[in-house]
Amino acid sequence: MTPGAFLATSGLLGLMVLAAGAYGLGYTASQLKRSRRWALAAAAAYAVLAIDAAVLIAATPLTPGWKILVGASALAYLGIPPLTWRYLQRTHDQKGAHA
Amino acid sequence: MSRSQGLAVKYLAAAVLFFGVMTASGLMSAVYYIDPNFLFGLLHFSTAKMLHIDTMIIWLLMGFMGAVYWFLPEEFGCEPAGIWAAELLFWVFVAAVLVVAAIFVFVQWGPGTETTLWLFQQGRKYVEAPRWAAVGVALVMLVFAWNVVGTAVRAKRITGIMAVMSVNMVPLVLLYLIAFPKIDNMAVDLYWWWWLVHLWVEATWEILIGCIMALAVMKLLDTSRKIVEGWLYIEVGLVLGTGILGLGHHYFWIGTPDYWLGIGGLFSALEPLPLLGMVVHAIYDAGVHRMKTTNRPAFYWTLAEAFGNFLGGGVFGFMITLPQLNLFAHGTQWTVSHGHFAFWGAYACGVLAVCYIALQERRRLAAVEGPGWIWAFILLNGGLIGMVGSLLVAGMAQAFFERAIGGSTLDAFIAGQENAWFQLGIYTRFGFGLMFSAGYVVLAWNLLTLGRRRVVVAQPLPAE
Repeated sequence: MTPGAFLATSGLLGLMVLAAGAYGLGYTASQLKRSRRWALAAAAAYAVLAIDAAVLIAATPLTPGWKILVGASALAYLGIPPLTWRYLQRTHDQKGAHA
Repeated sequence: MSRSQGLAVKYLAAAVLFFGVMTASGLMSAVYYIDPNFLFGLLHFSTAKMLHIDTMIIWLLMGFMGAVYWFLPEEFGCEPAGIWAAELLFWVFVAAVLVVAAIFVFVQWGPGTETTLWLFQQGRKYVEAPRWAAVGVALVMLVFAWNVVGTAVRAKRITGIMAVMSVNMVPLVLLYLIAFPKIDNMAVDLYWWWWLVHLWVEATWEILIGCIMALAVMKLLDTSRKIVEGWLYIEVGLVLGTGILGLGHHYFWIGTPDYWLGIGGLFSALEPLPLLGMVVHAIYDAGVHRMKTTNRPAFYWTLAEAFGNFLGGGVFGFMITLPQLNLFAHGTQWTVSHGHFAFWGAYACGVLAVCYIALQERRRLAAVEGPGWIWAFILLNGGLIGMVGSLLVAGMAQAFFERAIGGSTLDAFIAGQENAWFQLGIYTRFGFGLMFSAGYVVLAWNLLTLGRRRVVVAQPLPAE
C-alpha cells in the first residue's frame, strides 16, 4: 500500500460511515416530517455511500476479504434505518409511547 | 430524598470534580507538546498524562455509580442493601483517589520492586494506581455489585433493566482483577491488559451506560419501560456480538497469532452498524417529542451521547480499524483522536445527562432553563470536536510521514514531529482545549447555581 493509497483508503472508510449517518438522519427526518426534501437528501447520502463503497472495492489496495466486508456493510447500512424505523413504529403503536 | 439518592449526589459531585482534574491535566499534557520544557524537573509529561487518563476512568466510574444509586430506589421501591457500606466506601474511594493523585504528583516513580507496585504505582497504562488503591477499587466494585444484586433479592422483584445490570456486575467485578498481576512477558501482559481496558471499559461499561440511559430516557421522555427494555436487549446483544471479539483490533501488533487480524478487523467493522440504529432512535425521539421536555440540558446531552458515540466510535474508529490501515495509524495521535471522541460520546455525555436529571429532582425545578447549560454544551462539544479534529490532522500527518513514508525509523519519527501539519494539529488542539476548559468552568458553575439563584419578579408600581 502506498502512502497516498493509505490516506485515501482511510478517508474513504470514514466517509462511508459518515454517509451512513447522514442517510440515517435523512431517512428518519423524511419519515417524521413526511418530507420529500429529506427523502431526497437521504437518497443523496446513500448514493455517496454507495459510490464510496464502489471506489473502495474497485480502486483501493484492500485485500478481497475486506472488500467483501465493505460491500456487505454498504448493503447493511441501507437496511438499518428502515428496519429501525419499523421497529420503533411497531413498539410505540403496540405498547404506547408512554408509561 | 432517599439515602441512596443522597449518596448519588455525592458521587455525581465527585465525578464533576474529577472531570475538572481530568480537564486540567489534559490541558497540561497539551502544553507539553508545544513546549517540552514545561514544568521541567517538577512534573513530567507522563505524570500529567497519567493523571489525565486515570481521572477520566475515575470520574466516569463515579458518574455511573452516582447514576445507579440515583435510580436504584425508584426501581426497587426501597433503599439499596448495604447502603451503609456504600456510604462509607464513598469517602474511602475519594480519599484513595486524592492520595494516589498526590503520590503521582509528588513521588512519581520508584525502583522496580514489589514495594513500588504496592505503594507508588504499577506502571500499566490506565491502571497505574498502586495495588493498595486497586484493592480499594475492587472493594468498591464488590460493594456496588452487592448494592445492586442484594437490593433485587431484598425487594423480591426485578425489572428487565436491573436484571441486565445485575448480570453485568459479574464481569464488572471480575475483569477489574486483571489490574493486579505482574506479568514479565510483555505480549502476555498486554494480552490480558486489553481484557481490562477493552472488555471492562468498552463492554461492561457499555452495558452499564445502556442501562443508565434506559432509565434516564424513561424519566426524561416518559417512554414506556417495555420499549426501552426492548432496545436495551438489542443493544446488549449487539455489544456482545460485535464488541467482545472487537477486542481483536487491539491484538494486531502485540505479538499475538495472525488470526487476530481477521477476527479483530471483522468484528470491529461491524461495531458501527448498531450505532446507526442508535442515531435513528435518537432522531425519532427528538422528532416525536419535538425537542420539548422539562429538562432540555439532559435531553440535549442524551442526544449528544448518540451522535458522539456514532461519530467517535463509528466514523473515527472505522477509519483505522482494518489491519492494513491500522498498521500505519496505531499509536499515533489519530488513535488519540478516536479515543477522545468515542469516550466523550459513549460515556461522558450520558453522565452529564444524569447530572441534570438528578439536579432537577433534587432542587425541585419544574423546568431546567437558562443560558448557562447552553454555553456549557456549546463550549464543551465545540471544544471537543475541535480537539479531535486537530488530533486527527496531527495523527494523519504522523501516520503518513512517519509511518507510511518514513518507515517508522527514528529519523522519520523526528521528521513527523516537526512536520507542519503535525504542529498545526498540536497547536490547534491546545486552543480547542482551552475552549473545552472554559466549557467545564461554565458547566461546573451551572450545576452549582442552577435553580439556587433568587428569581426577581418585577413588582407593579402602586397606582397614584
